[in-house]
Amino acid sequence: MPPPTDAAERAYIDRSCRAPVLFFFGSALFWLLVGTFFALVTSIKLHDPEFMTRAPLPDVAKFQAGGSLNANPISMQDVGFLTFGRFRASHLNAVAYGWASSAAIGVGVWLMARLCRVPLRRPALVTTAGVLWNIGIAVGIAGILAGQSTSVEWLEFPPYAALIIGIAYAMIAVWAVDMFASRQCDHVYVTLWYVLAAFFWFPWLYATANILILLKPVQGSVQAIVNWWFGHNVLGLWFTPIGIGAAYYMIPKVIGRPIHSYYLSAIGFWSLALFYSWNGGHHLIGGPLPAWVITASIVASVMMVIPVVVTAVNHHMTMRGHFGMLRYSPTLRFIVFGAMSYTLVSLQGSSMAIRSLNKISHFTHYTIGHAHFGLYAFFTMVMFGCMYYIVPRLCGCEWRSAYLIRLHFWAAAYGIFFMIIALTVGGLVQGLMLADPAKDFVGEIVPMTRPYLVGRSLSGVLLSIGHVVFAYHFILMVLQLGRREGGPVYFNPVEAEVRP
Amino acid sequence: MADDLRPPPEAHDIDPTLPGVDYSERVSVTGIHAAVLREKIEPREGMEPMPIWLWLAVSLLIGWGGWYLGTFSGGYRADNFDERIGSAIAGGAVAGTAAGGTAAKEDPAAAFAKLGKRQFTANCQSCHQATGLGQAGVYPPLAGSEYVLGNKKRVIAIVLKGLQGPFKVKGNTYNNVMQSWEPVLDDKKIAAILTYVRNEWGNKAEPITPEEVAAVRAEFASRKVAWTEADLLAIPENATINVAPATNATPPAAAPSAPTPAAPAPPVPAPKAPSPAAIAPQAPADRPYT
Repeated sequence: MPPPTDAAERAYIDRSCRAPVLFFFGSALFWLLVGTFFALVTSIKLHDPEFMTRAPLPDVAKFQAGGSLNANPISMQDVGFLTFGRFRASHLNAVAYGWASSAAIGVGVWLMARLCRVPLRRPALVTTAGVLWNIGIAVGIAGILAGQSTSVEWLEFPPYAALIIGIAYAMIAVWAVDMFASRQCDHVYVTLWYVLAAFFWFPWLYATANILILLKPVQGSVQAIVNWWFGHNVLGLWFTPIGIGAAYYMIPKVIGRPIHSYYLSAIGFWSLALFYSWNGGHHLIGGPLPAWVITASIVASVMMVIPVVVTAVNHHMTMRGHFGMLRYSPTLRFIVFGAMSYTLVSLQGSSMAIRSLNKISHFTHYTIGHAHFGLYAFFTMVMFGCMYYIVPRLCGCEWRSAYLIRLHFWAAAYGIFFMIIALTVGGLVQGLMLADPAKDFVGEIVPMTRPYLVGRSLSGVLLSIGHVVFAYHFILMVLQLGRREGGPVYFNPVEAEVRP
Repeated sequence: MADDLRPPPEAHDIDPTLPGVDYSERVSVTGIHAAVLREKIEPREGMEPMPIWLWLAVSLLIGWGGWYLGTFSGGYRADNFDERIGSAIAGGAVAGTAAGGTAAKEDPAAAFAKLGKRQFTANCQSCHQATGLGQAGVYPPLAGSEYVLGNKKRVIAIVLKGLQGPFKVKGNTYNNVMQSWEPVLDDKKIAAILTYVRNEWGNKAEPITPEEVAAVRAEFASRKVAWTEADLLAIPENATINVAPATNATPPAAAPSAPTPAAPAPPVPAPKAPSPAAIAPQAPADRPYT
């Protein structure tokens, strides 16, 4: 049993975090629902291209009476904001910046306060940054839908929206440095390394990429390098450290034993910092870049096996003997699902950087499957797990229903599993067919992908169910409609009683 | 320690009737801290050493990384885009390595035929149709066309420069325009398309090589307008194409690994009578780039 003073201190810290963190979580879930809507429509458009922009059926009676057959044509000018190009970019930005980044900031803020052992400093700064952040995303998505996308992948937001987001993030970064400088802890735990690094890395990446591509563009193919340096580092130096950092906190916290090895933590962190920022070039294999640039990034991508395996060993050895807890602890189940996905998706990513495999997988649905594997099965699941842990401590009440959590988990787990299978298998077949000059693109390859894309849309429906359920459950918590007694919510309370 | 950290009580902490959101104070004090009290202690770190097998695996990986970087970095040159070339050299001549290795796996003739069909579908079919019959009165047929089956130089010239009607094919006159494909398609694609067209729909004629297309392209390089019927017929029925092998060799990889000084020869005028040796080893016009 921890000494009561520690519990009292944690209670104060949690309370100081309440408004800003709940604000970030709430807006994250809002953008998750928005992004899910964009995702579903985009996915359906891939196998039904006229979805939502279908021209009305011609009026045959009018035609027979002598009128024009196409009296009511649909104009792309009128429905441009409903087309695939804008919806896809809106989906990416809504989930990457709206959902994933907001959730990451919320979790990161809470983790920093907990691990620095100080009540949240300057809560107004954090909340203001949150408000600005949301304004930036709303403006940015409106800009994309209005056709003002920059058409640079991962940086589609028009420059005015990017500016707002950059300012908001800079405020968070300043806050993070301030928090860290005033820490009361005597030992800087590994999670804190990751969170602090992420809060520092992202504004650097975002500012550099915006300046070198949009404000003062560098020449020619160097823009492509900058673009993918940024695009991959958003994943590697922003989402990944927050996700791993959160797992490093939650796993030992929930099971109540120390993390396996400090040395593994250190090697994992520094090798990630060293290798990840080189990875972006593997998106440009076969592109017009000097061979050594691509080769260096392939080597760095394969070297990512080091931090991944080291971290996986560290987590696994910590969990050893406690896997039974997955049967009842919602937080642990989400987090461990995410941590295992991290290992798998990273090893898959390293293999995809190798030229001979990239030749098949690049520019196919296989890559899309990989992207969702990383951002959903790893990062989003870890964020869900963190929220299940953090929200009761901020709201002062327990989750209302184990049933809703179970529904959320299985909808998300099955949904993302089927999505990855559909995209991976479909993408492999597609890649092999594309490499065969005898195959007809429109006649054979496109129809071949159709069933896989329909399967992906169906799995997207499953994910959407999970999101709606979780958002509903979250709203109940914020409205103080959670349970006030009876202890924590477990999937399987009887087993939780038996086990310590 | 916690005492030092406590913030000064806020107004609504002291008087619950004052405005301010404080959800947790509505229930018992133990209720507030229930979640916090049941928490396990904050995470700490164990000090287990890194396992030996992991050290070994990491060392192996780093070794592989060094080898790969050294082998496939193209000599770290800014102008070398092909990782399979020239890692052993530092500047100067670029030696071809293993270039033919991957290309040899597929039968080049079959690949050439596939390329022709695909390129025809992509570029020609919308007018001349998959049947090769064209459209009556609008687009002339290719099946059985005297130009398709006739002199090589003429048919290559048509594809390169395009046509300006009126133009007579198989007894029918077509008053239409065919675009110039010179800027769009390279020699290999044009050769593949023409070879396909000359041997499809019952057509039977000699194949056309990329070298021949290149030669015709060079011969008419100065012509900027489409052919009229009269201009085209000015090319004699029995005209031959002088293939100049030296100019066809595309830069680095075509050179065999032995240093052949002649390989990257600039526009040296081709020898008038090509020796059999110069023609025999067909210079690969390009290599599949992955």
